[in-house]
Amino acid sequence: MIFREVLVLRELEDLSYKEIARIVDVPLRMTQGGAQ
Amino acid sequence: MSGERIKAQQLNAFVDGELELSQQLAIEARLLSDEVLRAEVDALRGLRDAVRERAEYHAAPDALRVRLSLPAAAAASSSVASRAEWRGWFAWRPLVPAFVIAGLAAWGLSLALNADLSQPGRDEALMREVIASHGRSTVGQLLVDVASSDQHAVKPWLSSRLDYPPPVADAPVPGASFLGGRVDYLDGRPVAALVYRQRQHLIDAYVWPTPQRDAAVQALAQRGFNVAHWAHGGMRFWLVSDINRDELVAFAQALAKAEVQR
Repeated sequence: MIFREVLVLRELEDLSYKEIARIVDVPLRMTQGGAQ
Repeated sequence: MSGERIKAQQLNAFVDGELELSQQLAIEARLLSDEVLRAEVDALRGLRDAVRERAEYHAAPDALRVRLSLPAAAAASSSVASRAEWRGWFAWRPLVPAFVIAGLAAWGLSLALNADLSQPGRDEALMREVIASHGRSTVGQLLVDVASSDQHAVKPWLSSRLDYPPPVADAPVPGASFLGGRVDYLDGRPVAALVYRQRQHLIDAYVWPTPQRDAAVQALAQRGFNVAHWAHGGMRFWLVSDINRDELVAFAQALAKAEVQR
C-alpha cells in the first residue's frame, strides 16, 4: 500500500520527494525508489 | 556521466525534477544526443501524464481540510473532545450490569413491600366485609341456616354446601353457646359462618381456607364492632361482634386454642 500512497502523493498531490518522505515516514532514498 | 548507464531510479528522479541541479543539467545535456535515453524519458513522462490524467482522484472532504488547517493543539483537543464524547458513552457500559441488578433489586423490593403493604390493605377491606355481613345477618334476623348446638349436625350441613369442610367447634368459653351455622359470602367466595352467643351478644365466626401461614390472633375495631382474626392449619378465622374487645379476644384465643388441640 505504501507504493500507492507514494504514487498518489507524488503524481496527484504533486508533493516533493522530501515532503512525501516526511508524510509516509520513510527514508528519502526509499521514496525515490517507490516513485518509480 | 556520459556513456554510462543511468539507473532507473535516477531517471525517475530526473523526470520528477528531484535530482540535484548538476545531475539534472548533465542528464538534460545527454538527452540531446542520446536517443535511447530520450525514449526512456519520454516513456516515463508519458506514464506520469497518463497517471495524472486517468487515475481516480477523490478530493478530501472540506471538514477534514478545515480540521487539518486548525492549529495543531486545537485539532488535537477537538479530536480528544470527540473521543471523550464516545468514551463517555462507553464509560457507562461497565455499569450496565449494575443498573440491571439495581432494577431487579427495586422490583424485588417493590414486590416484597407490596406483599407486606397489601396485607393490611386487604385485612382492612376484609374487616369491612365481615362487619357488613355480621350487620346484615343480625338486622335481617337470618342468623343461621342450620340452627343446632350440635357441631356434628352443623359441620356436615356446611360441608355439603361448601367446597371444604369447615372446622366447627362448640362455644369455647363458659357462658357462651353455639347457635348454628350458615353459608355467607366473603373475600370473593362462599364461606362458613358459625354463630355463637355470649350473654346477649352475637359472635359471628367466619372460616375459610387460605394459603396464608399460621398467624396469631389480631384484634381490630371499627364502627363499634370488634373484630379478631387469625390463621391456623390453612384456615382463616374472622370473628366479629359488638361484644367488648377483651371478651372477643379471649373468645378468639379460646377458639384458636381449641382448634390447635383438635
